[in-house]
Amino acid sequence: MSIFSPSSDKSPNGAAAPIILGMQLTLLDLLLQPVGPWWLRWAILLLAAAGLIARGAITHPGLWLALGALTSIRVVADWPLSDNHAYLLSYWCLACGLAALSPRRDFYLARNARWLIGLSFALATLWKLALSADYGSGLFFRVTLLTDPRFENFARLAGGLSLEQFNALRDHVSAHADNGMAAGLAAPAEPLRFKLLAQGASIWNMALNFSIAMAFLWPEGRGPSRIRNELLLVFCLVTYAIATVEGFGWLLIAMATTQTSPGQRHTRAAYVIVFGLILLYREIPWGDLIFTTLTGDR
Amino acid sequence: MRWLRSPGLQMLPLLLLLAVAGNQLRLVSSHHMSPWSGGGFGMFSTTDAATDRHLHVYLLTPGLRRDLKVPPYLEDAARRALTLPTEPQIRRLARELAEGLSEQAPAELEIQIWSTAYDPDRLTPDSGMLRSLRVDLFAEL
Repeated sequence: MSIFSPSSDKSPNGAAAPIILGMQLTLLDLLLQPVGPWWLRWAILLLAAAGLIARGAITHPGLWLALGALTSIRVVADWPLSDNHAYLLSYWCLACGLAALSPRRDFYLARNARWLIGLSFALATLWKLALSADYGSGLFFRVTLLTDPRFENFARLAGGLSLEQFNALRDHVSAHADNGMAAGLAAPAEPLRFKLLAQGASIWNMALNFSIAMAFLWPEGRGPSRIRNELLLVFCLVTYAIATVEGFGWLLIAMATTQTSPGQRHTRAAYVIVFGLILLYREIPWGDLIFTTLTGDR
Repeated sequence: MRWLRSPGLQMLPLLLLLAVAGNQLRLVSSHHMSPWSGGGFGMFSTTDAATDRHLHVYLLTPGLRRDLKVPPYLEDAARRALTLPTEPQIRRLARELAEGLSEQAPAELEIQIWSTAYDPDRLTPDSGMLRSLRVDLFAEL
């Protein structure tokens, strides 16, 4: 059976192609981005490898409930340090395990995938739009583009900052400033293009987060739900090229693949391609290469 | 074990997500948790990440206040205190710091957790103290 084939082609254990592919990508995510402290990691890696290799294991509820338990223990052990996708990973493994126990496995897993993605993006939208004091104004990106090393090349290239301007601005926002100690410092000028970039990045992200939340929470087959896969593909393609949080990207793709309808072979193929691209984003310093080519800087 | 197959149980992952996110909102508003953490999906929404917070540690002995550096092997405990500066997290850091000290005289550790906000016009940073706690070393060890 091809992993891209419609649901009429069932695997030997009766699962439809989207379910198998989504589960395979989840296990691949766990192998490519090992998680947890050493005393958990080996068990998670062994289970993920066994799920991919052992015949019939991939849809076994025991595999997924065990992974759900181990990834939950990881969140508790790391409290409060875990990233958000560590939580999402444990919910997802639990969802896979519970669905595998049910006679309506494919239906429940697809529905939970849609809702987990939708709720994650709804909460991200809530933070960006309503709860954060510095996102809507663009302030978050004006600071983060300067202080997060992952964004340096992007900030300099797209924001039109020379090395001197970038360093001056970064030193300014990084100054030690307890109780207003930095209030008297002369602030370097921020180019308009840089400010516009930060504002544009805020609006783009808010709009995309909101759209994805709506599309995945909307009743299936109606309204914005019909473009949910395209929206998520664009999000993963763009976001993870710049913010290399590959574990989150791979998890979203694995979950999203599960909720594709059986006939959407091309959509599943696109998800797999983007999964591969995120791997390339991580392994190839393409941002540095483009930056060096365009600017001649090293 | 029929309950394991009940349709209602399929909602458990969603309910967990909502419950954890609700708890994160509570911790952010009442205990200064960094919105980036805690499972509420607030990452990349605010500059108040734990990595943008900092702490000061002072050793207080009679007549003397000494600035202490957090050694690299306590980075994990420091990150926990920065992410969620509750009394238990700060006490845990103090306890681990105290184990590396050789103070014989009565002494206290003062740990301060600071976060930074930025001026929207000039990007000038301004750090404010989120929480400060004094811990008696002899009582703690």
